[in-house]
Amino acid sequence: MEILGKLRRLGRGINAIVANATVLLFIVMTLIVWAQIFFRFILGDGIVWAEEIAKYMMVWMALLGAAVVYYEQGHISIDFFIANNRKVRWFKLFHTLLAAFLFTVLIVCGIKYAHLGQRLISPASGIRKFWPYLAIPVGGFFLLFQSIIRFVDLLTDGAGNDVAANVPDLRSTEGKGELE
Amino acid sequence: MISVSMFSALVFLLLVGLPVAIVLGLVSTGWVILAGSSLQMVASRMYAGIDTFVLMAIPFFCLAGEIMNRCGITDRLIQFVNYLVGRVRGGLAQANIYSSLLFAGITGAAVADVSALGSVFIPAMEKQGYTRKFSAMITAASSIIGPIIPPSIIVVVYGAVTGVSVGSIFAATMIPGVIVGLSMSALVAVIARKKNFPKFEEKFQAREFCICLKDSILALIMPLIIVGGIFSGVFTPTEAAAVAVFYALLVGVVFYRSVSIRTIYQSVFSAMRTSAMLFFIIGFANILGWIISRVHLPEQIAVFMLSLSNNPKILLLLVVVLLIFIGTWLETSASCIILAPILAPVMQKVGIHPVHFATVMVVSLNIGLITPPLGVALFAAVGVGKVSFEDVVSELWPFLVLDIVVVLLLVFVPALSLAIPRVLGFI
Repeated sequence: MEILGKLRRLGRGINAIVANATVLLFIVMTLIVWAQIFFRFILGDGIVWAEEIAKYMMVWMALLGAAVVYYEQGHISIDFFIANNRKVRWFKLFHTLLAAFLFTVLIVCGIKYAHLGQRLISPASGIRKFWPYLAIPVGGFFLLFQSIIRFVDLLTDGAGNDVAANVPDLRSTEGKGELE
Repeated sequence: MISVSMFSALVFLLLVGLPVAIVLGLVSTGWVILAGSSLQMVASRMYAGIDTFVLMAIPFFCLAGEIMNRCGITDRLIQFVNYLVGRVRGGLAQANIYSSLLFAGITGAAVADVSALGSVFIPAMEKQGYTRKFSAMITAASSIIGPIIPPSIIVVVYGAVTGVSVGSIFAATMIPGVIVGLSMSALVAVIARKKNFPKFEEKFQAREFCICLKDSILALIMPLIIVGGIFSGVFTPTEAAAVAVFYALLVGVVFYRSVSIRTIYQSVFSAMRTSAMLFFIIGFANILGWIISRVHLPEQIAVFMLSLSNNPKILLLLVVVLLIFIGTWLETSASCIILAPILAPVMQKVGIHPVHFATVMVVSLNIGLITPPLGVALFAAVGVGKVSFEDVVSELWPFLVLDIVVVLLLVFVPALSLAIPRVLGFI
């Protein structure tokens, strides 16, 4: 059980890092859009690269954020039919397996796609498309990582994983969704 | 044949509780493999789905709403509304509805509205002699005004996945939102007379009213900036949302002085989470959308529908029934992301104006927020009001009927949706 505890802590630690990265991306993205508006209205001329770079940061935020939400089991789903089922743990194992498969697909085709992006240059900012494309395999990696930890978790200890434990549900905009 | 098995797999996986995004991803990956297309399609369509500037309005709207909510503006807004409408019979119930109308401009998310308003209104209403279940119910019922009146997240989602201009849908949903609010208010007035609801008898204090007025105006400038900026063509929706974030911070830090670094961090995190959740679905749905257009599904559905009837209004009505049904099971934005790319082209072929359909779809899906067995707003009200789900639902049905009547009105009178966009030159 020692190793399991370590694994869980690792999952939590990685999640905290990814979560902070997304917050940072969000803040920088906001600053860029502000700067763009400021330059356009006050100085009369926008920043050429602003929109593109902000968009790329949003893509990164989306994919990394997806891993954070996955860790918190916050992705939207229909729980109605399985919530009161005694076999809920088996359903979740099944979910996690399917999810892990999808995340693997994301990593594999994401890497190929990013590779393709090395030959493409963004029109406005001049950076290689490789960088925004890279968000897909990297996000996929963190998603896969969290899904593996959850799978092990579910296999060894079903009780600690009931829905109510750490699902922040859909109230994320109400102001109670704080970092643990 | 593939389409049918794909659709069955989609429904099956959704019903066994797999997250919507992952279901969409799996089903479309499966199709890409079966059809022998390159797997790279998965990554490229997903990327293309998220890499859209207009979507950036979502994190910004969420963030602005989060900051405003944490400013403590709720209490002042509510008191302001109380002063304005509280003196009639059933005053607090009315104030609950009109607060939702004002709140709509600030949060644009129904669940946020329920918890923010419910935590103030439900105890206050109970103290004045309303039943707890009625108070919780009216909070939930009025919360659907929020995502209908602009700015609203689901409209941005709709615009991003269908390509219809967000500004034009914002303009189109204004009248319907107000109609929903006013009709609820009328219904409450009728119930209040019947059940002899109390008035709000607080003494009027001029000084306090002025403070409330000032604070409320400060908060209500935000939706004006957003809507005004978009309608006048000065800002894109994304820029307007970014400006709203700036304004919310300004108000929170300078005027209310209640925003700390920690508050900002929490707001950013929370807004990030909501947006990432939506983007994940949007990304995978974009693969599915690509497949759907490749197999010409919208065309097939359009042909099928036209074989049922030639009257576009009747067909729209059928779609509304479908939307309300699906809205009861599936989260609002998720249903919008999945269904809008299929239904919008169908309805256009059938002869419904895209903006008209967008409005009807947004309103119908939002009714799903308060329909049992799965209305998210109902569950939020159950949580805030500490009442049972059955209690809330038992009082709800007149309001549900009312909402459905409003949708019917919107279906049969397109001018309600199209007048403002036309005046503003969007269409």
